[in-house]
Amino acid sequence: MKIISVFVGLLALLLVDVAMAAGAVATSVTGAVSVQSGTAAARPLRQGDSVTQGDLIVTGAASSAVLRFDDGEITALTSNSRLQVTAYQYNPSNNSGNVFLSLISGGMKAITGLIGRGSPNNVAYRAATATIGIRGTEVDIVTDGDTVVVSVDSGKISFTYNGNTVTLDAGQGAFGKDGKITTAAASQLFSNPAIANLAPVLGSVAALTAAINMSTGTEGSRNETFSTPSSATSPTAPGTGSGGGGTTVSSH
Amino acid sequence: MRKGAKLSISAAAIAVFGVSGLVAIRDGVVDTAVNTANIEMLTWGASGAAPGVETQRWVREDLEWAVARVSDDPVTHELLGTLALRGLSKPDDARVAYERYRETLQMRPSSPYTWMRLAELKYRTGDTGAKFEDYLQRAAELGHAEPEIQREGAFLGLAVYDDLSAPARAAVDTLLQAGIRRDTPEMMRISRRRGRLDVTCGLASGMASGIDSKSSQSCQGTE
Repeated sequence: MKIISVFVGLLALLLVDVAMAAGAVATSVTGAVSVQSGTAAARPLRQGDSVTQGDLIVTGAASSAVLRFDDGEITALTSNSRLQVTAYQYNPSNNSGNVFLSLISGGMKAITGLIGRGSPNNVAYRAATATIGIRGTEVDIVTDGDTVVVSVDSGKISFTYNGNTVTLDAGQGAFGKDGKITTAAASQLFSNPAIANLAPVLGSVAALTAAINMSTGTEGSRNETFSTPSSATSPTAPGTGSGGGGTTVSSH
Repeated sequence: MRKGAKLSISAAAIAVFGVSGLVAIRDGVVDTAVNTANIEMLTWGASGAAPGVETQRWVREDLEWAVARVSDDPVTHELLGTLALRGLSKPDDARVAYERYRETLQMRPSSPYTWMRLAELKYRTGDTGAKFEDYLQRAAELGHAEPEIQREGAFLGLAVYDDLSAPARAAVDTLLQAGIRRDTPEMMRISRRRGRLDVTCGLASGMASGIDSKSSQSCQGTE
């Protein structure tokens, strides 16, 4: 049993590694941001927290969040956004993996990382009914759940909407609405009255650049582990030894 | 001694040895099952890959099988708790983790690691109130010299530092100071990730031992 106890210590250390092996760290959180894992209740997302595959991130009013994934991918969310990490797997030994993020509503800026550089076909974003593929890209995406707007800052994307696909280079944009894709220069995109309601959101996405630079510029490696091995000798603390208190846990 | 008495004593001895042997075999089999499950869980960390649903299922089933046969082993309870804590994908996972850690603490109340796990569970379920602080303080009291407790306490404590009560904040400060003395760069990394270099640098500046030059550079600008 002692051997097992030793293993438990290592296990505790490594379990956290597992949780952190494929996911992201919230490098910046402002306002009210929550994260929901599976069907569990949503909990506040704080700077430094990990986000993993399956998590749903929700930003409130006047809030934003910047996520840095293990492969270096940056995803920033504007206020009133909902993003699900539908799939994220990353193997750092060969920089392979896949990324699939779903923007349910709101706005996001995505800057692809090592997976996108090495295997661009393995990176995709979904916004409402549209799918965005990338080619080494910095892209802004906005949706209200129906209309989808994209603007390419660098690189190239494929934008698929209602069964049609267009390829957009840096400086170009497009929106899908009422089953139809409309393309335009990114700078002129939001003068189009058809998507006037989403212009402020895209403006917010553009403003995320500063937050990204601030939050990721000093971010160190996230290889550090924060674990609690459970095997080592247990010192006796005041109040927890024989006859002392603290031996039971009260109601949850 | 009469022959009958000798036979009775022999039979009793055989029975005692037999039962003891069976118990030993049972404990051995259970230990093996727990050990196997534990090693499997270790490989998840080593490979960096998330385990499949089926793998998680058999690990959980083996541990539950083991705990059904040997219910007074805190290790098995703690492993089951950690499995649930690691997932937390269902509302029930938090309850399971809590129950398992409670069982563990009833058998091993002075483990700072289990108290810290409870604090982590509270944090990860978004409940950073009085119980979270209580668990954090107990872990700090019991294990302030343990590196893992320092790391986790700093990681959790700095996340909600401004919201902590004075005693809980003092506990976090104690862990941070112990961590700074042991491994300053590590504490700086944790603090940076939490965006709270100001706290760690403030504590470091008041320490007689001082900090290394690289960490000192990191602190510049936070003053």
